[in-house]
Amino acid sequence: MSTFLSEPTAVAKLLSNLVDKSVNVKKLTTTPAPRGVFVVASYAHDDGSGAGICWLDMAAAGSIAAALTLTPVSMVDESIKGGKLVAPLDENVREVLNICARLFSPVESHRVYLSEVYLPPSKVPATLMTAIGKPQSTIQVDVIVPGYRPGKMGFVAA
Amino acid sequence: MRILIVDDSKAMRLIVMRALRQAGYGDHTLVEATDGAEALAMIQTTLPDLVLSDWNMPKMSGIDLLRSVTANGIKVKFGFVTSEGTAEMHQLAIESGALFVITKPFTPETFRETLGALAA
Repeated sequence: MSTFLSEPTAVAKLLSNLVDKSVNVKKLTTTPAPRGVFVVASYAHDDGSGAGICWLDMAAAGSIAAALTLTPVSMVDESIKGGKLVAPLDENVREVLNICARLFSPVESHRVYLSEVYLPPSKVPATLMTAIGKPQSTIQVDVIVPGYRPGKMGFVAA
Repeated sequence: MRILIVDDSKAMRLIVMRALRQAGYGDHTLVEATDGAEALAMIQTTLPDLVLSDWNMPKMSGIDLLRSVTANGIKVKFGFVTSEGTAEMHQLAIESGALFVITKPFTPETFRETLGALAA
């Protein structure tokens, strides 16, 4: 089953609604594989087949997760420095990723669900890492949440 | 009005409460439960005017909560706030007695319109 990837405007709208702030999302013209520590989520269609992957660097993951519950930016900085999302950002980011399932579905009637979440320092399966490293069917964006740290986010269609 | 918000995610409960406040329900009593089982116990103790429940939760799902409420003869307005957006799930919810299904992500306007229609 082919997967639909939302445009950055849809990503911005979803994130802005979620955190109740005007989130700036800008599409990148190149799609290099992410470096360093990052959060990865995989999504599946209702029949269990893979729908796609979403990844966020620690700055994006921490910032969106923090903005969700008005958590201080210092917690984001602590997460970036420690290479691990501190509570409650770890729980918050799962909720963000759960709702991001919408970005892989062209219509509301088609169900795509969050399958797995890999939070640092969990090891991301090699199959997902390989998929993330391929530029095809990928969009990457800069994400700026007002009051928080700028970061990067990527979407890979299955 | 006493509104019971049922979601295993603390973040989502906060977001729902924020949206309710922005939709004009800030002066109502907002109470929380972390899963269907806890919600059922709370409903049996103090009947809320409205239940806003997630669908997927540990211990007891939202649809099982609704079925338990109905099976116990409890009369309460019940709606889902969920990321499950398929027509089949909406149909199941409505057939089981839910008055509405709000799909995540939502806006305060979503709550204003949906809850306003209930009061009308």
